[in-house]
Amino acid sequence: MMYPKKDLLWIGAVAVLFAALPLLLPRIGSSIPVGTEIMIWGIFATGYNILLGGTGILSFGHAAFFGLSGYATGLLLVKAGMPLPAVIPLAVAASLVAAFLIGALIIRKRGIYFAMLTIAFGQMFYFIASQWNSLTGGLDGLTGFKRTDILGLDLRPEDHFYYFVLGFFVLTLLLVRGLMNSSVGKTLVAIRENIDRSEFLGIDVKKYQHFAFVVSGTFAGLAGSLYVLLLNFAFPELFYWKTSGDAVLMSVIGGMHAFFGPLLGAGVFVFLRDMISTLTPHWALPLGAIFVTFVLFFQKGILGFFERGKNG
Amino acid sequence: MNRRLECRDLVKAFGGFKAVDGMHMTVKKDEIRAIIGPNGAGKSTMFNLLTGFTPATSGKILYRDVDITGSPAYERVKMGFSRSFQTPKIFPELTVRQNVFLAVQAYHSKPFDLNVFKFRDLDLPGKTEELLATFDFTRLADQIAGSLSHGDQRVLEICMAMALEPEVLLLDEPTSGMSENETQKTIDLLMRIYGEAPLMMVIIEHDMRIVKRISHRITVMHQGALLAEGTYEEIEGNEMVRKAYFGEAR
Repeated sequence: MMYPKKDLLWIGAVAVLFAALPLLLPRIGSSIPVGTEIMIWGIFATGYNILLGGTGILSFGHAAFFGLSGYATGLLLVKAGMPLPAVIPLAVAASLVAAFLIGALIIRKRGIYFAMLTIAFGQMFYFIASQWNSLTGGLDGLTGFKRTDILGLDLRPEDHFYYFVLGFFVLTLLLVRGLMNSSVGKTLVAIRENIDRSEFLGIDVKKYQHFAFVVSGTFAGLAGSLYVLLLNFAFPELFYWKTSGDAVLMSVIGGMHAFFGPLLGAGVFVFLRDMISTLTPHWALPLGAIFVTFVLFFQKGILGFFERGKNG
Repeated sequence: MNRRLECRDLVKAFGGFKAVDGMHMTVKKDEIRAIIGPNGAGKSTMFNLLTGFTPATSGKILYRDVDITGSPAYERVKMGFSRSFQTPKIFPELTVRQNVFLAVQAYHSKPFDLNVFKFRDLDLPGKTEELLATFDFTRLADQIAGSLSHGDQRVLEICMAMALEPEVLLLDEPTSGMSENETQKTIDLLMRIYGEAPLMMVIIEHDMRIVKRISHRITVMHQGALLAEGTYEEIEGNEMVRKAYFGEAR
């Protein structure tokens, strides 16, 4: 009801597009890892938008789950020497548990208080990661690991890892769309639209909000684990509030009430950042100006702008 | 089963001010009860306490002889409560049909209900269309709810409240802000709903003609407490009520 059926076709089209992208990217002066990064942020933002666009809750703390899973991935590889097929699920599970516990503590707060608390928790992780030198490598970050192979697939080459991420990426799109089109997803939209009415339809609002928080945190964790594997490096900025802010920005730029909005936002964000940062070291300034323009002139995001009048 | 709604010595204090101050009331099964009283008498606060929208400071609320004073709103809804608000609370950016569908789905779902086969058998879209037709919304079904007239939004809210097939329907000034014509239609609609399947209704209402027409009994509130209770004729003849309420209202 909320997302149209043709979205399934679009997911297929997106999958085909991204499958072909490694052939295209080097030709337009970009590189395969940029495509990998777009998909990773696409996972983060699409999952995050279950909370923001889907349930109407603003969190500035999802970097906590992104970073936690990222560091868990690095630590399990370096310190425990575990194989990748065990590392990724464990790292994602760590984010799920963290999101559940933090969510349980703060989900009863509304609006700005909630957003402030999410920043506080995210920054708490940031300071732990940057101070606990013996475990995390402190501000220098965590190194000394390289992605190897998983179930016979060698992930070391850039293009191999790209297609590995593509699998998770398409799975994420299918799962999130399936969730948002289920009765649970529709209930989340009801909560976004009017909390009081939802409560008086007999919906246990807090439980659903908590659920959305945990699910979005888990996808952030998946993205974080893949991101660290992409870079072979974990660093404190993964936890920084700005990382959460990037997810918010991607959702807003692309359109948080359209299914593909966050993904489009992630694509635009990563691509522009990559392009502009090769031109000038002061890339943050023009990039910021572009984003301000987007937010001012496309108030419902790029997709929202083109779907005006329809229901995202 | 004793389907009686009862409150005893109910108090709601905001700081030092007691908006509801020792209220008593018992409404019987299938009774239509009007709550009247001057502005600030505590009628809406009373509603919020009965429905669990705000917690009571002290006192007791019982339904079916079960103490529900501490139950959250959604649990009371699952017991059969349903309500409207003075300012309609709907899903403003969704269509009328989606609004009603969400209400129908909520009524037929358990928490985190993903049983698609059950939903298919239940035919939620069919039930949605039935309700839309009953409330004369078929023509407006694809409109964005927030773009409806104030009167239509209020009726939509009642429609969503009725989607829950309630035992207890609480309506907070259901016709305020409506035109004469809309008011008539809404009252006719409420009477038709009641006629088809009686249920307990508690209605806050200012318009004494409406009160006279639909309610079985009347509760008069004054300064957060019970001033009088009785049939329309009894209330009309009550000297205290005349002083506190009719005197001001005319």
